[in-house]
Amino acid sequence: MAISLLYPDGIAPTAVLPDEGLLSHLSLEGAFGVICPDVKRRGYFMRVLSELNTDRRVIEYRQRILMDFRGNPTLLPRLTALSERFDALRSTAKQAAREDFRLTIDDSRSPDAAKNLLAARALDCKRALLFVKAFAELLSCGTIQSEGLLSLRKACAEIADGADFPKLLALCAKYENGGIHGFTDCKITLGEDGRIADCQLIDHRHIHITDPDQKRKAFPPFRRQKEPEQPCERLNPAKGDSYDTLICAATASLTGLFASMAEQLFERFAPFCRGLTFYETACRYMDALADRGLPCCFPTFPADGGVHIRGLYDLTLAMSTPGNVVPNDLRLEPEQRGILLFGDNSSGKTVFLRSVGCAQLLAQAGLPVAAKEARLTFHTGMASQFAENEKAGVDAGRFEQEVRDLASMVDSLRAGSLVFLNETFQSTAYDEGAEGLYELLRYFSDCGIRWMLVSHLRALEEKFDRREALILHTGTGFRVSEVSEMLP
Amino acid sequence: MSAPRLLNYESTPLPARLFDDLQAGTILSPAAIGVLRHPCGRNEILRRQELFAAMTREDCRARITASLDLLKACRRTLELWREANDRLERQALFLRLLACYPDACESIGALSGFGSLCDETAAYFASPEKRQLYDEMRADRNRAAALSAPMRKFLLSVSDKYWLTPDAAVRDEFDEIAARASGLGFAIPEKKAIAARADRSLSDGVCRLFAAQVSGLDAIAAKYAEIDWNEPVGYIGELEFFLEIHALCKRAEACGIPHCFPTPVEKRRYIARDVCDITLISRKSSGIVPNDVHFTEEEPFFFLTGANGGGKTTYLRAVGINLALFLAGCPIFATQAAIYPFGTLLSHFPADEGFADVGRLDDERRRADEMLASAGECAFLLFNETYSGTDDKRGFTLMMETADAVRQVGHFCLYVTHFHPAADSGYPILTALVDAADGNRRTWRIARKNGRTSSFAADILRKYKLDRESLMERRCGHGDQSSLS
Repeated sequence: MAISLLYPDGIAPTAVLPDEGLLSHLSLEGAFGVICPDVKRRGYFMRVLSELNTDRRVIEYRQRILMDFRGNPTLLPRLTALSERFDALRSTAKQAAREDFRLTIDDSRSPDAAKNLLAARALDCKRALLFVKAFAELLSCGTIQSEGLLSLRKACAEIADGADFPKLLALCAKYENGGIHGFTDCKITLGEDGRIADCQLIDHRHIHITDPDQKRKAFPPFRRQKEPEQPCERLNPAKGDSYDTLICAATASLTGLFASMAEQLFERFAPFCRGLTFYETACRYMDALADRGLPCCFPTFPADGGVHIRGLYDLTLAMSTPGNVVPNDLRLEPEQRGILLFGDNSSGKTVFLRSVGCAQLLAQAGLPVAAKEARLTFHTGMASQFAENEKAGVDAGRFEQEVRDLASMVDSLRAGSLVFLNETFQSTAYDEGAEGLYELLRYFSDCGIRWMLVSHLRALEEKFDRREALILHTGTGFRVSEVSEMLP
Repeated sequence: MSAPRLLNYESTPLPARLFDDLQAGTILSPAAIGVLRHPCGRNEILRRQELFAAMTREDCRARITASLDLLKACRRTLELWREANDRLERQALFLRLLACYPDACESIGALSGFGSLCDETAAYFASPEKRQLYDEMRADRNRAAALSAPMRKFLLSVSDKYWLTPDAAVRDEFDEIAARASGLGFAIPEKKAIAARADRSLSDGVCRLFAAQVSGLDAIAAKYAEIDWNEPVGYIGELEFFLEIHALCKRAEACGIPHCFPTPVEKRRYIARDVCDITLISRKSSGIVPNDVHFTEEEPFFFLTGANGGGKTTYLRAVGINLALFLAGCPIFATQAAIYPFGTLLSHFPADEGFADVGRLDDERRRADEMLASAGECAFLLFNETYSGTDDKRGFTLMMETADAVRQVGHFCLYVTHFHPAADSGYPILTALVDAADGNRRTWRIARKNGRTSSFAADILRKYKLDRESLMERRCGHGDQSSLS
């Protein structure tokens, strides 16, 4: 089984966020662009975020690994450096495998070429084995407590400390150097149809030729010792290259075995190497907040369904203008199905929505959130719909586009999901928009889907009972509260 | 004594074109059609019917299928053995032949109890002499296997300039590494099979290295130099035919089409109830409508007329394909039947255009003349729209000339035609019925009828809006009303 630092079972979920726009709506790419300028690493991190984790075990698994890395500051950089070299070996071996395939399908194959391939694959296998040994040694140095790192250490040790490990390394080394003194000997097995069914290389020590001519030729001091008498037969020259073909087949068989072993090591340990990238970015994220004097915390997920966040702030602002960060609190009772947020233009409505969305997404990825304290609810799906301009080339007006997008979203959402809506249905008459939106939000509530709406449609405020939805307003200094400063 | 066969016939084959006309290729393999082309005569019909009847039993089918598998294995080995040039390969394949030949023969010997055809064949293969031969072969096979076992593994030293030595239970490097790797939890890939022919020099080398064993194997092979290895293999096609027809019956049964074994009668007649055109099952047609067939010496000739798309050609095919099946001793697709084993069955269907030097009418006349000339004394003839390639009057005249010629010789005949005056010709008429009360719905029923019939071509024209009213509406739609007035 593949070793993964992201998933306790080693298997990545196949489901991804149904709403591809969520990450961009929450501006996470921009915030993490400051934290991790490396596009490739950031891309991997964002991919993990976009695989909305719906397993509580995964959150705990990742949080503990992250704590281990924070507690052993040198472990992650050293593991990363080693894993990068391991990954480079994997890439080289992969490229070589393609080259091998090209060599095996055309007619340019010769015993020498086959032996070169064998030496290369034996070397790859040996190096991969030595990397596993190095991983095991590195993980034995510090104090680690997380299930993920402990199981990685165990998996590495099972190989590196095995009784057969040094013997296997020796066999790899033997073929890395072209066998013993370049001898080539095979064992041939005929099938029931009389054709050659198998041809494998054997160690030259198994060959006992008792040829009187050969013995006479040898210099007396170096003559072989008395060997057991074996019947033997000298072969006539073969037509064409049939013996070469047999040697190539035997060599290729062993090449395939070494390649398979190396591939198995790559398959098993590559996911863990990739997973390190996630933790590297996660540590940078925590460092970036700490450098700016901003708090962060690992959230908890009590089962009551309530949400309580203290000192929640926006990650994007924290990265660009940390001095402008305004922390806000949010308290959503378990029976409240949604949040309505009203406020003037540029009063921080969207920023607050973004803060809530980022906190939820990062929390479910097993990461700390940008707040002093956070108790969240676990969601099995997330989606967003932000008001947009009319799209070019779309055969419908803006309102119809919104309705169409929402219809598609409604089809994909299930109970337990969370939806973020920003100024939805404001592209039509407000009373009609409010009416339509009310029906939609009621539908979400009835289906067990939590929602958060930022809107100017104040008519909605009258339609909802306070026990059913939390109604918030932005006010002076970007503060969010249940008290409205606006005229009714 | 030569081996008795399961399929015996000495008659002139039916023309291949007949089976094309009947669309037999849609439900039967070319091999089965090849058998159907040979009517087998009254006695063989009864003997084949016995076997087909026995095949309704599970044990019979199981034994035939098992035998067929063994026979095919034997044939494959035989083919490989004959193709093999290499000595090692020939020896190995001969070893296999010594195992599969007696198995195949004994499987045929076990086919008794399924009718006289099988009993005769089984008795031949289960005779005491044959049994003794099988026992000897098996004993020799075991001896040969013991001799050749050490020859199957040997070591080739390339380092020492191509030397061969026997295998002293040497563990190869793949197994050596695999053992270490599996100890560390690696999954070991399977060794890649080679299946390459040994080079002549390698093969000779092995034979020299194991000279005593090779000489023993040659002695065993020499002992069977006179055996006719093909003898059991010849039954493959025959057994496949019986299985294929049986499978067709099962397939028909699944579509609700019954089958029966017609009684071969002395008097010339073809009487059957609920006959179906079995080729329709290949088109997945649902609700295939059965019809009766009633040809006797008193009324051996029928014209068949009626509505387009009413099932005339289907009926013609049903009559033809079932007769062909009966003549080859097969069950037919009807509920009951009594049929005379006609000497031949011939057809005349419209041919595709493409006559290099003659027109369609000339081609039809030529084919009709040839058909009558080759019909012999007691034939069943099938005509489908013959002479439709000319004007009404001429076509009708030619059709009547042919009908008279057929009647004069005394052949049986079914003639599908659109020439409605045939109803006044004095010949009995069959017609495809429609339900006038239901908008001339096709019933697919064929019945005897006196008087003129209609082809109901207007229905089809209306359906495609080419009838008079539809064409008028079209003109109105295009503002061409004035020209009509």
